[in-house]
Amino acid sequence: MTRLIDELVDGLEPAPSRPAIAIFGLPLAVAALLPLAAIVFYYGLRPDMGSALMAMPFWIKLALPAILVAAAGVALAHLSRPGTPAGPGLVIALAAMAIFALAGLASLASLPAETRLPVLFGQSWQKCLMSVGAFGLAFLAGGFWALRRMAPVRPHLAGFALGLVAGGLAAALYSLACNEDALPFIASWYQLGILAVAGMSTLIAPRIARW
Amino acid sequence: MLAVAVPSPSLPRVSVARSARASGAAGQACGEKAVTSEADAKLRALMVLAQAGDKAAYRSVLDTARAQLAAYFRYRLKEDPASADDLVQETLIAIHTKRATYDARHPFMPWLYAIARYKLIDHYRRYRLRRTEPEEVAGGIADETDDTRAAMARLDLETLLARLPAGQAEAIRRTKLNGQSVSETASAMNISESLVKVNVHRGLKAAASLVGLKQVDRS
Repeated sequence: MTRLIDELVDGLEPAPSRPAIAIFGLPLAVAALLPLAAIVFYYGLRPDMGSALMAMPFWIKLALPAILVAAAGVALAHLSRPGTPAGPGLVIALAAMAIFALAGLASLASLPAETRLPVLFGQSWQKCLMSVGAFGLAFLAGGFWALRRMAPVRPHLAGFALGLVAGGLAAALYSLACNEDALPFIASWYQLGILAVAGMSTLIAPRIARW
Repeated sequence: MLAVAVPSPSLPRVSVARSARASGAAGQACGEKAVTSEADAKLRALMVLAQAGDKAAYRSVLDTARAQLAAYFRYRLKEDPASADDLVQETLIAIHTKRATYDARHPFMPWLYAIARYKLIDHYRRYRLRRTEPEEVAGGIADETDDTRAAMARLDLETLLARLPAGQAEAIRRTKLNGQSVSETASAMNISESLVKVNVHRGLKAAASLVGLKQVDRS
């Protein structure tokens, strides 16, 4: 045992603690290149980008991922280190999603019955689900690359937090290409895409981030 | 509880005390329920020095950790002292490879014990796997052509490696199966060469005991 400690002390090199944003930031930024390339070369920016920037719905649509990335990101920072309590980040993220779901329902209820389904499904619900999912996978790849360098002791929870961050980032990027701004659309398809990414991340985290 | 004897020959005492106070204050600012014992504050400061590369500080951290871990694992694995000792070593190695994940704004002991607990759960999981394993591989030994035999050997090896701690399995996979050198493995796994050797040796030993061999050829 003392020999082991000798070996470890011998092999000591400086390994300063770095803030989570520094650890996860770069891999996630690199991962963003893939969805960004897809938007530039395949999807194209939403055609009405100029006017959308001036209107509320676009920013409401960005608010969801912003809250998710911030809240789940803080939770991820805690969950990727041993001995730090997760904090309220995940609860805040889930509460935000629940609020969007309720707002989506309320908005549907206020519509005349015959327009509800067209508003809910929009023109591109499948494309939305697929894109948020696919973008999310790119972010998961970058996120897990970083998470493997950390030491999550509750891998499921850490994976869930990472999945919400990845899904949130995916939703934010996809909203640059998507011109559907109806609240029911965002509350359902965007959120389902995000939850799918988070669910997958939760399941694979214990295998990928094992240490 | 905290029997901390901290021999710190070459430590600048004043600055240790100051950085301990500073990080303690930061921890409380974050709303942590602080384990503000003197001992933890000392370890916290020593660990910061160790993260900066101070070997003497690191040695005191590891010595203290070893004593804490020995008590922790022996109490929980009373009937299996050999595993308890293995877990102490495994946890010390985990502390080493994951030392950058300690954030000095938080107390040290919860970090240490969270790692210990993770390794303990990992051990239980592998132990359960070992006990249920015979039924799981019982089927499918029927036709043994050379191809299936080779495939099954590979599969057995993978099942065996899956029961080793991740670091040990990876070290063995790289050095013994993929033919990488120790130094290649060390840089790929981001650990020192001596640690690669330790991991391979301990992994082979553990693998041998899993399949019921008393001795393993040291080559």
